Amino acid sequence: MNTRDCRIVVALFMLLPACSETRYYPQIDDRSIPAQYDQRLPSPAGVPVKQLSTATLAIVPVDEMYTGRKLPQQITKMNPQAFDSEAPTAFKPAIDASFQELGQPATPLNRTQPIADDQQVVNHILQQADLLQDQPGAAILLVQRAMRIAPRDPRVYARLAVLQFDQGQTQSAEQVARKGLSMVAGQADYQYFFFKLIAACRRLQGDQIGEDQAIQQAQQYQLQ
Amino acid sequence: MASILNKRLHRRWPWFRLLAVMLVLSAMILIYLDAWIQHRFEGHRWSLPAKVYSRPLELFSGQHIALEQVLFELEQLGYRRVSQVNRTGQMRVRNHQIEVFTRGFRFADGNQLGDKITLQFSPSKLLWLKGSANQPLSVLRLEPKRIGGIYPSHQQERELIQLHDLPNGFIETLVETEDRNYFNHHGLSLTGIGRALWANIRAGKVVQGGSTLTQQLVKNFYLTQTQSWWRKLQEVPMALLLDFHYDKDEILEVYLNEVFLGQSGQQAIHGFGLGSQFYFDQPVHELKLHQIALLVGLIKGPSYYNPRYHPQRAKQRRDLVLNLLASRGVITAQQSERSKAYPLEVVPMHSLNLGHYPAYMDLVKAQLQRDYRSRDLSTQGLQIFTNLDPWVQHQAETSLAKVAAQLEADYADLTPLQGAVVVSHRDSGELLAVVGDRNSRYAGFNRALYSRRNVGSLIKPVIHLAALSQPQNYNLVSLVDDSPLSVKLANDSDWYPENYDQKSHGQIPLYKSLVYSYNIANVRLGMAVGVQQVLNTLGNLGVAVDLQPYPSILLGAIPMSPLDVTRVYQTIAAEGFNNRLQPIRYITRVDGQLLEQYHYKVKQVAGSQATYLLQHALQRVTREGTAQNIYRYLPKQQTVAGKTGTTNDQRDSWFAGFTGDYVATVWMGRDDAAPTQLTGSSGALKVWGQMMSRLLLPEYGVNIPSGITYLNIHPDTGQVLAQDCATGVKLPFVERFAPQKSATTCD
Repeated sequence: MNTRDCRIVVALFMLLPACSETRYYPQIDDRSIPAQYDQRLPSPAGVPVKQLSTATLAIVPVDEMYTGRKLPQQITKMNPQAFDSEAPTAFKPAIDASFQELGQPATPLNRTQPIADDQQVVNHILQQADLLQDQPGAAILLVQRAMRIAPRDPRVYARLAVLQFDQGQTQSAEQVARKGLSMVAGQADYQYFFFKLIAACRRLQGDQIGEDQAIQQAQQYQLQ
Repeated sequence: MASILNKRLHRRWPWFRLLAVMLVLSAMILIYLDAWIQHRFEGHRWSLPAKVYSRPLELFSGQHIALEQVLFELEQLGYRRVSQVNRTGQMRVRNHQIEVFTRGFRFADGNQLGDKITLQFSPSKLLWLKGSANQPLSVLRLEPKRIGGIYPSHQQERELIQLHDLPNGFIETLVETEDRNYFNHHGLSLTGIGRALWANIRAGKVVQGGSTLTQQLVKNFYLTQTQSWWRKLQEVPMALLLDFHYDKDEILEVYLNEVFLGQSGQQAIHGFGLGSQFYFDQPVHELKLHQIALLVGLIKGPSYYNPRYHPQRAKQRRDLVLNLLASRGVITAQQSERSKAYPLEVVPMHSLNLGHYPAYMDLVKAQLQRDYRSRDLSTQGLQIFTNLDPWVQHQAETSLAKVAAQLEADYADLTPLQGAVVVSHRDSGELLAVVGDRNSRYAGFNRALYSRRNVGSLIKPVIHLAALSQPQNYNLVSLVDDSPLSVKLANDSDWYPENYDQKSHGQIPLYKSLVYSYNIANVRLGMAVGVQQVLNTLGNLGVAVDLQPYPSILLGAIPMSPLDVTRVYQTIAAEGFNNRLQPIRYITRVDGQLLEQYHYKVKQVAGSQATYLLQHALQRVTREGTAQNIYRYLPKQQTVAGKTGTTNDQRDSWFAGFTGDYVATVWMGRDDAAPTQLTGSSGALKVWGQMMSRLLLPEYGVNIPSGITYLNIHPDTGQVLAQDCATGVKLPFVERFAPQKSATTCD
């Protein structure tokens, strides 16, 4: 082969793309979603999705049904130190009218319909959420599911506030606790719980005065 | 000798050289094609559009839900009524009972398995539900409805399936019809080519193709549809290479997801998964033999055999496939005849459920595009789970359409009347329904989100909230002067606000200025509180407006969208807690892993006491004020809180309010802002009332906050009466600042 022949081969090779009627399909890579999106919420990677078979959806027996007056038993993972804060030596409460009016004993919720089957469902869903302690994202999903079924059930707000507190979302947790407080007039156990949670949130936010105020409110219900 | 040999070689050399060059080139092409085939086949093979779903319907015993709603939702999900429920996707309705074989779904928080479920209803309640083993169930979650998608620019849609998703007989039907030797050849079938050639020569035209499934895949997946020898030449080595590298099942699976089966506007229908949804509104595993035969028959010419436009041809083609299967012993003659007796069973075009809710999808896309790249949204197969409630959406759409048509018939010069509706959940702030046009399928200007119109009297509750947040200065019976007023404006001119009835009413209790929507009293109240304070309160309620504090704002000279208005009333309904109005719940990847979750977010922005007093006043608006007409649609015992709004020259008709679990805003008017003759009560309120009358409304539960007391009050003087005075009205007050002055008599 001489030089002319080589040039012919090269020229023919260069013509290849022009002859092609193909399209280029870029490679789709499932890692192309930027890594930052993965960090928005802890992913339950590596943990099999929990199977909720129909066998587990049986009605919860009546004696396990929450009666509505006991402190929720499965509020876990609270920071115990947040609840053991010492009394302030110099107390100057900030006036927070909207906060103070929350939760004081008043006329209980006026409901003419009995709270019935949605409570059982909420029981069941919250129990499922408790099993997902190491999967806070999925647990929050379940609690929010319970919220849709029973949007005025304070247990749901209690559980959600705790989950958010555990994830360090103290401002959100405080607001959810305040929302819960707006629903539990006359229920001292819940009022105590929510005020303590608010105090814990404020402590982590560095709001000493706010924490003291919340503790003062909680102490009103401690012995009831 | 050597020179003779050289001369002979020199004469033949050009042909040898050409042959050598061609061989080298062919080898290079083959190497290139081989690499490209593997590269394309082994990556993620398609751009998978994001799928958008509605909320799943939750069912539990004792739930307040009507059979009608459950039936509607099941039909929207493609469940078919049958006389006997045997397989997924079927249901039977008898008396007040529904028997349904659910499909199940993989949710991010757990799987819901499919089962045969029995649901027993009373007129307004789901009494109980049981599984296939007659075990009582506490809760059941149906699969969510697919409401749309976010597509790549080439608008290709996919509903990926695997071989095990196929019903019995599917592969046999496909192979016998398109490539009976598929499992024996190596990508190319010389006997098939010969057979087709012979058939075409005998017929004198092209009646049969000789392409194998592998060749068809190469054409669709790698090449183009162009009928050319060059494409055919490429197809042959590529088919051989594909068959060499991958086994039959793998190639078949890709084929099943790639084959072109039709067109839906700009959307191409690729794959049997999507084709099954497109033509039958069913997942592929639910298909029966006659449906399989129809789909497989479409491959030869999806447009030519389109069952919607050419049903006769489609039926003939389907029957041909069935006859072919019978002749080859794949099915019996009886099975073939039985299948041929079925109609085509193709659903109307709209049942593909794509683009049904353009207004809601606008909001979903707007939120996603803030957080994700367009490319990721339209190619990664994300699954987006929204809060759209199909039943509420349906009621909102039909109410708006019906009332608008009725009003146009009743009033002259009202055409074209438009409207928008936004509905959210009272406690959670989840957006349940968005309607942006009276023709809800119209994917054009979305009035619910983008139309900014003056809100008129809808602003008055904000003025009252600003006032009631100062309990030391204002309560519901604080006297407000409704006598004629002139306001000096910044440009030194005078403004004379007037009441709708052109009358003034003297000194009136504060709550009456809201109940009867007296303009003069509200302007006086707003001026006393401060226009800027009113704007600040509006900002706290979720709508920050960049406006100078002009007095006209107190009569609603503030342009807002229906979505903005819903934000304001949502906060009032939620007792001063501002929720994010959420269209999306969470997003998962194509494999079901949780990617993003939109948490419940709430913030207390107004005092519970002030909002409680305001809620009470808004309830009186519907009981005795400008919104009394609401009780033409709802039962008297249903507590409703709301406000009508009418702008100057009746250009806009508004109603915003809440009852049960819902907060809703309705706007009606003309896009050219011409007068409509409609007030809030004669226009938007009708839509609101009709919509709510179709929804089962639970008890309007409300917590009375601390420090609130009820007193019996003289309705005109605001004096405290004895509790047993029948002439009084019971009103709530902040106890610390309750009126002390008592009347000695009941008059």
